[in-house]
Amino acid sequence: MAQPVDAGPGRHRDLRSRLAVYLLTDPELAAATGRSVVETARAAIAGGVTALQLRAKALPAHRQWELGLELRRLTRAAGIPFFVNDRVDLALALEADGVHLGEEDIPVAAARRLAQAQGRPDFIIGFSTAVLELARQAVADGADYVSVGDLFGTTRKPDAGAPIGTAPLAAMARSVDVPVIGIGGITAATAAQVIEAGACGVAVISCIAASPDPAGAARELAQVVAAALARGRAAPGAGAGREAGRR
Amino acid sequence: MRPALRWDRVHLQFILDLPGLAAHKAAHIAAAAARGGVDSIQVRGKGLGAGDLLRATCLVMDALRDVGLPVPVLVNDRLDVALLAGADGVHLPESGWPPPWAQRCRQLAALAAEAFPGDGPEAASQAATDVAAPRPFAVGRAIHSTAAAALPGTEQLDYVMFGHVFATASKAGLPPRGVAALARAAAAAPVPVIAVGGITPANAAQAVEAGAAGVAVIRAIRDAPDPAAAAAALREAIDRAPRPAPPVGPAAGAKKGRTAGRKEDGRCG
Repeated sequence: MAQPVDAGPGRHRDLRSRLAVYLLTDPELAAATGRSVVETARAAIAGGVTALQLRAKALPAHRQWELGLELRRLTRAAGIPFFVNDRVDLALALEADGVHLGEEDIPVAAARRLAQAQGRPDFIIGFSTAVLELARQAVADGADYVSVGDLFGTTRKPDAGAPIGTAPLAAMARSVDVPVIGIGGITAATAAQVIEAGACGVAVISCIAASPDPAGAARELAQVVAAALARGRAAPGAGAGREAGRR
Repeated sequence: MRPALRWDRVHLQFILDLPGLAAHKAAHIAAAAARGGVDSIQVRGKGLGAGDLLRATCLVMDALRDVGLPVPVLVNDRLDVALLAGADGVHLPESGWPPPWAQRCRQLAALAAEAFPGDGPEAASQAATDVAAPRPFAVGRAIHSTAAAALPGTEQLDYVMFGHVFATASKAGLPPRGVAALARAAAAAPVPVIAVGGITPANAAQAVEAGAAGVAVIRAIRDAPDPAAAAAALREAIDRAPRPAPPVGPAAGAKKGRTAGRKEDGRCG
């Protein structure tokens, strides 16, 4: 049922570069810092974030919807892709650029089918896994990028196991033909390792959302990622994965 | 086209709460409830991943087809799961989508129905029988106050579910809203009101007399040693109960015409 991966016009265009600095929202962290999700997103976009994901599992659908409308407005104005975590219905209703799914969520093939049914061949589907076989299947089913974690130990995902380091990410980047990003406790100090391991980008929460200066944190992260990507392009064979040398 | 849900008798909805139930057990209980005479089944999986909810919903629908009782199945909250399972509707939590979302839900459902046309052998055989004639996509919504019964957009819903009416273990410590509040909600709502919360064969008639067009139960069927018999006992109690005139349910239900189609395919497999 799933369409071939490259069936969607423009689905993969520039996706690699658009995933360079990918911020996930965190309403609990927003409450703790006293700064709203929208304020943090606005500052982070000003600082150079290249993609945004609405992740608000604890919020009821209508709150996710309201928040999603505001975030979509911001991302459209900035020209960056907007993703919704888990809920394909919400992503389609918000006319988001895509959805991000995990192993426990709706299967990628089913999400792809639903998106096609709603006239969205351009809908981007991300998939979280560190398991190569699951990633290969997800890509065959229509996933457009893969997110690997928890790399360094996130504080924002209560069910995350022990951190896995960058080796599984390097293996993933060699194994699948779609962009791979890293997630889990990434900071400006560790982002370069993630890119060097073969990722085309880093997904973060705390590094930006818990910072007293989210715009500055985003800017610093974007600079580190851009520099690491540039080094990878200059020496394409040097990275552990092939992603570093590709555009 | 017939209505999405039947209101020609007091509607009996079984809320199938998945957490703690193996999916095959849930499907087995759903089939038993259908044999006992429920009019709809709402599949609910709070805390479950959407993948598990989708698989369980598909198993439930398969089980209902297997016993030849295609009782309408609604999925709690997750429209995406409902559409992918080929379910008959969605039940919106009060904290979920607001009432005007009903039309948006039906638009998405109509697009999905168009894209996934029924073409399996089951579709062909079931299309021959009246029970599988095209059925529009149902949208219900939970409410917990009389005010919510009259929110703008409520008239677009197939029903609102008001509770909890009687004391129930699932709302331990919270005082029940009572039959008088149910009567006020039934009077205020432009669509049928289904009463939920502590409903038993012993008190179901009180809900009907208060103006409920239907009743919904969770444990009374799920935790019964014989779920089919439990459903049948509820069925009997509400069928015997005197309904106030004019009957709120049929009148409200009849004025709605839906256009979304229903497909009977084997998408779940």
